[in-house]
Amino acid sequence: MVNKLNKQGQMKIQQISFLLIVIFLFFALLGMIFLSYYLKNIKEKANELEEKNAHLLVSKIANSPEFSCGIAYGSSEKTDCVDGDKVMMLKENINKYSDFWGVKSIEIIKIYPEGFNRECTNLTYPKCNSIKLINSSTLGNSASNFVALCRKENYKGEIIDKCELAKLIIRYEEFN
Amino acid sequence: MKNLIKMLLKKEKRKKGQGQKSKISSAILKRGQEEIGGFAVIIVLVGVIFLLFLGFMLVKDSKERTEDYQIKSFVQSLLHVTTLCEQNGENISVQELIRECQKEADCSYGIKSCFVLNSTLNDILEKSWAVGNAEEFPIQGYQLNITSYGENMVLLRKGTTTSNEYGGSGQILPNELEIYFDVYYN
Repeated sequence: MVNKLNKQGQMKIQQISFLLIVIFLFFALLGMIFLSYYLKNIKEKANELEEKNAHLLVSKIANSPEFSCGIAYGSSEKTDCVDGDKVMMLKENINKYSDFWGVKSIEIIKIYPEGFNRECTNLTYPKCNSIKLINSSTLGNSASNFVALCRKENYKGEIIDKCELAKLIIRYEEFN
Repeated sequence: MKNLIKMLLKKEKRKKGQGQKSKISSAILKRGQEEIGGFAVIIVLVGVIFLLFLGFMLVKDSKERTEDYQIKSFVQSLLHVTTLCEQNGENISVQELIRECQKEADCSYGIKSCFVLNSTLNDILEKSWAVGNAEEFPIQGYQLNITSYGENMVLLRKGTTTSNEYGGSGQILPNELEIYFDVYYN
């Protein structure tokens, strides 16, 4: 009788321990799925944030007083508008600004209308298609944004505004 | 007499046996109820956790559509671009040209403003967004739609549409003019 009861008890203990193991495994599996999903999300979020930061940086540069059109081209301030004349003046004094924006390179490439395929200097401007401001040889991540590249032009003795489509490209070191 | 005593003793024993049996069966029942209760608690717990997990997954999946900064800035910059359409001795911008096209006005030398607008936008799109096969180009297609009072005024399309669509929010201009630009990635 005692033997039989002992055996029954052992069976019960085995059942309970088996149940506990199954429950533990189930929760562990659930936890692992949750953790992998969470970690994947964190990675995606980090990439997204880095991209967002880069775009914000380009936008910040394009709309900074050193680049932006301000109210020189119309009564209201234009967003994503870069003053080409101002940038050319900045290019001459770029040594004073080399660490100002914390980027490795800043370049503006004209997209439309297509013009002369050469770098802008005091001699070639505005008949050129790229303005290289800061030009570092080291590589880094890049980000770009479309901008309107505006300038004042003399047309039949009158000063007129002329805006072209360009891309502002920056190279920067990784944020993290 | 002896027989009577024996019978009474037997009855007493039977009664005792029955009492023990009922005690054992009630104990078994109680234990069974406890196990069922425990099992139910576990099932409820697992269900709650599963629901929480499901809820978390669904909330994450219904993410907002990614807003592409490049597309937004492209539309913004595009509006400032100076076109070949001349009016009163001055070349007007794309934004002004859209307004002229809405009024069905002409540029200098009798050129239709809508014609200039279409060709200018086509040129700009061609040079700004490279569309091609999936192996070489990430962009599969784009669509620029300018509406006036809710009706299509300009509709320029290239490539194919994919589910991976990025769009700048509709740019609204005066006189109920709206510009929508969508880019389809692979």
